[in-house]
Amino acid sequence: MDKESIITVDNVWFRYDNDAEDWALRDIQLEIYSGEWLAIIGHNGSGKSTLAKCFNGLLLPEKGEIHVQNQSIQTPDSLWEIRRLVGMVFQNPDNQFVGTTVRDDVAFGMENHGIEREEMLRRLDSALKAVDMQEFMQSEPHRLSGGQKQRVAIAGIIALEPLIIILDEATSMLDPQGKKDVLNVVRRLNKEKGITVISITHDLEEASSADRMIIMDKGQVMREGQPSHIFMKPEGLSELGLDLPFTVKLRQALKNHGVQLSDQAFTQKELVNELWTLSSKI
Amino acid sequence: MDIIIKNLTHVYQPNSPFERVAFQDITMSITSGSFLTIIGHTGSGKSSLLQHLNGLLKPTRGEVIVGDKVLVAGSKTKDLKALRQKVGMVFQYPEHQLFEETVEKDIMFGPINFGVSTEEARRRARKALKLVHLAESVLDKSPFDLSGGQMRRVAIAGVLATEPEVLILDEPTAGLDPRGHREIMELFVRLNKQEGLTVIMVTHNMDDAALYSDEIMVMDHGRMVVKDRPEKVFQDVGYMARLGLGLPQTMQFLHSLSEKTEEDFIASLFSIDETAAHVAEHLLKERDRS
Repeated sequence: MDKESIITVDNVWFRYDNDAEDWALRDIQLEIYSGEWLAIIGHNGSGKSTLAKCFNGLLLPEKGEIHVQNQSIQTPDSLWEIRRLVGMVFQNPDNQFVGTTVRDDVAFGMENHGIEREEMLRRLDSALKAVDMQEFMQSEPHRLSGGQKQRVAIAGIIALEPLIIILDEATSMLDPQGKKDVLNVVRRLNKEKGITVISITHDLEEASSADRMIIMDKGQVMREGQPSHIFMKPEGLSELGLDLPFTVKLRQALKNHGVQLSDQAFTQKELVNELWTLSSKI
Repeated sequence: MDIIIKNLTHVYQPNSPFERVAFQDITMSITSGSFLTIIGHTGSGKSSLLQHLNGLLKPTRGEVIVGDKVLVAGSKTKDLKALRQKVGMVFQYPEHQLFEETVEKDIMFGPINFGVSTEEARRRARKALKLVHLAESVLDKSPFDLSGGQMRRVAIAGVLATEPEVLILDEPTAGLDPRGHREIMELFVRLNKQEGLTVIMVTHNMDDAALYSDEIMVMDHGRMVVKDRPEKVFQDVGYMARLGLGLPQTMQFLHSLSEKTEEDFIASLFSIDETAAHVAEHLLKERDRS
């Protein structure tokens, strides 16, 4: 993957109260690359969501700078455009509906951005199609499940043709099927449209499938790298309020029970393959 | 305190154009001191059912018997307050309901509302705090200065301070980090096993459902479709998938391993160590055979 920066974070400091001694973000230095899937993990209160809200200027840093595609979020004139480029899906599906039907809801953002009617209709169709919700165009929000509501929220974002989607624990209130559907839709947008995804999550299995991961603690980036590399060195993770992903724990348990495994397998599929190779050699 | 539900149906806004059946014809019993988990996709009727157990919703048809209190469709139940004291409810994101200046006042709020003296409420606040494993030093702090996991435990302590016999939990781990998640589940198991509280939990997390419950009840489109021990419930892999519910991670793994190797590894195992032992044993047997 060629690494072209899409968001640059330079020495960013942020606190919620100007007199407060504890900073929510302290000296964050970070690059986010175009087209990647970045997972941000860390315990409750580590600064993940605060950082995410800085990416589209919902919060403005006290010190330091953030650029999205070379435009500073601190420049009031570019903020509108930055919020179009960086769409955000929040945790609670019930808190982000504004329209009385799915159609109105997806159109809301486009109307705000003054998109012409013809173009709006075209985008409405393709956005709902992209999230598999075209049949629900006329539905009322309260008739939808949590997963469907989140997909409508995503449709509202992609109708604005963004470059980046931020999922702020967007699947944590969903049932297993709803969660799967939402992640599949976002994966497709990431692969097919090259939309950069930043996912804030407590779900280590989901984070494991990211291209890159950062771990935050006390407002700082503690570790950064490929998930497989990070979970290879489990020391200290539990102090950061974290745990190991299921596959890594199971691999360790299998070795404890005398199964001859390497330390390579990281996803469930890789572990299944390694066991399969092992059993076919017998 | 046993709970018995007979032919219970709830309809929202009956006889109006907005009429909607939340769930129908549910009959079951929950034994005192047991840990029951209710699973089902969004909109299957789980939360509506929970709200009948302490009289927040009234039956449209059928009845609910909680200890010596009976809620029947069409008749007013006397003394709902006593019922609500026996059946403590922890809503989703209970920390959003914290409001007092100090942790102590917040925990004391419930018992005082139920007519307990200030003195007694203060004693109970200390006891409840101990149960949720928080130090007494947090009593004077503002609840809003605590971490997310700690805030949730304070909220739960507030419910425990009313000394309920039944604890109802609506997605108690949502939004917690892995450590907070583990600690809070251990807390509920302790309350169930050591303090003898009946626990009724709604969750989307199949691992928690499998690991901690005596029984799992599955709801689908407003009906109860299964109620059984976890190992039985997850046995029918295809059925769970059709209900949109999935499996605990351990079983999901055994399932993919069986598909790949075309060998039968499937077993109702929920702990990582048991699963590893099962796979290791299976591989050894194969080696002996060849």
